[in-house]
Amino acid sequence: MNPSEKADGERFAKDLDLLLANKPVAKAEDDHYEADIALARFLSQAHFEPAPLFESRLRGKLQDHLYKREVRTMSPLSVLRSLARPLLVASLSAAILFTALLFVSPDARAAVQGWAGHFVEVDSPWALLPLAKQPQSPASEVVPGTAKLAVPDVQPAPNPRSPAKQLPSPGTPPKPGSEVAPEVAQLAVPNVQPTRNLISLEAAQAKVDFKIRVPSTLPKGYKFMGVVPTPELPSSLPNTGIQAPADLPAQKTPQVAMLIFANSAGDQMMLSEMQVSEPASLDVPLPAGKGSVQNVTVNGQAAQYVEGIWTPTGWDANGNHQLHWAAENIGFDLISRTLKLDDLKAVAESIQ
Amino acid sequence: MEQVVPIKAKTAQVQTLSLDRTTFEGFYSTYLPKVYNYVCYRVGDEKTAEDITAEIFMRALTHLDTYKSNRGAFSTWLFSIAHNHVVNYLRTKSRQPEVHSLDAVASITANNVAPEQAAIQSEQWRQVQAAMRELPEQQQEILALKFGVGLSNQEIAHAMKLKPNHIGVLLYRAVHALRSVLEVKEAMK
Repeated sequence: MNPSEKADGERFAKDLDLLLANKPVAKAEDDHYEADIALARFLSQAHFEPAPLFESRLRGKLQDHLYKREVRTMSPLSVLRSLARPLLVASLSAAILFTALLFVSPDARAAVQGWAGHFVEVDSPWALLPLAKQPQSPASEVVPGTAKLAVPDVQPAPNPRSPAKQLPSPGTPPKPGSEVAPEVAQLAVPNVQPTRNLISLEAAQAKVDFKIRVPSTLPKGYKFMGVVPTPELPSSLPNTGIQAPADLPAQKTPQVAMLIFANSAGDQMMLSEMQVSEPASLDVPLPAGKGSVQNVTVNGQAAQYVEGIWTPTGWDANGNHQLHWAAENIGFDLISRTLKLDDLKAVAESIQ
Repeated sequence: MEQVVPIKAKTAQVQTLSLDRTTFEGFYSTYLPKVYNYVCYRVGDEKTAEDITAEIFMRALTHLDTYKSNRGAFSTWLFSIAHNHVVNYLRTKSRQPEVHSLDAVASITANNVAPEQAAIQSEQWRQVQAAMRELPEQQQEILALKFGVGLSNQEIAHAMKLKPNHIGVLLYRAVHALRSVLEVKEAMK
């Protein structure tokens, strides 16, 4: 841009502003410049008017667009759409925090599992995680060497079909060495919750006609875990619709209670108590491999101790250790894979 | 250019515009003649100008929330939309705009002009329109923004992304070039 052109440009801009403001413009001496100003004046006077029909149609179209936009903005769907994102973020955050809390806090896990247990049987990965420790009852404190267990004062379930048998009085004083008063009716379940496959002693007692005996002494580190639930005998064959004949005598639920004890290493001991109607059946010896049976005594009563177990391939001498004895129409079996005769006998002789 | 669209404060520095059916009329009556005039200057055909003007207004309404006051005046924003639509149209059609029909020329108005004078002006305008098509794109644009819309040099500079002090010279060149084309066409008759 040369200086003269720049000067002409600035002059033209000023004159154009005057022209557009309908103000007089000084006549130029240069004819060419004057012709340019005249052309600019003509251009400034040229004006296009939009056709009235076009103007009104476009107005209606734009107003309709605005109306639809306002309706969209106020519609519940629009409001929900605007809230969807924050709600989603809040829900995800809450879920993450809740999950983290369950991982971190055993108390929270116990609370959730307890709450869920009111509705359904809890069977979730949370069951694999340790729950909050229950406050230890003084009655469940384990004395090193000879753990003591409180004797529950649980009455057998009334059975109209069979009269109550003569069982030891619930008020029977515990054996010497037991530090628990006899009026302690609740079996203290220390530290470990029963798994979902076990039931409480009270629940098991309600299913059998005889009084379930419990040992007052346990091997070191062992605790009561629960009772294996005894299945109910169905009155009809499942999934067939076949009903038992009306004149068929009612079949009794097996009168068996299997109490599970375990230590922190996972070693288990099972006490099986089975009521029989014929005391003679208790004299049947345990099936055992040759030379594996020892005749011993429990509280002066004859008993059998067996080391080994029958397997599909034959007798396994390294299998369970089982102590079997009987008293008052009850056959007792105390079984463990790790405990041997002395430990099992000590437990057996502490059973009330 | 006056602000006819209500401004909704968003931050201390940046403002956006709000438009509803009650404030629409001011916006429409102010900008429709200017946009329509601009498009007529650029495309030279009344029917095409109506279509493009409608598209420009619809786009402006749809994207009104994208306007930020810190980026320039509202008129600049609106005419940048108009410019893009016109350029797209000219590029798509790849043809020279048609000159005005007689009916369209008749709509070129001057207040209280006698019928004979109006006919002469219409004929002159037809010649000017034809000559304008001979000019480069930038000169057509600057003439349309200045005479069709009536933007200030500052607004033209912002809309065309040019330096404000160059606009006077560019306008002078455009008018001078237009007159030269008209003289050549007159000489060829």
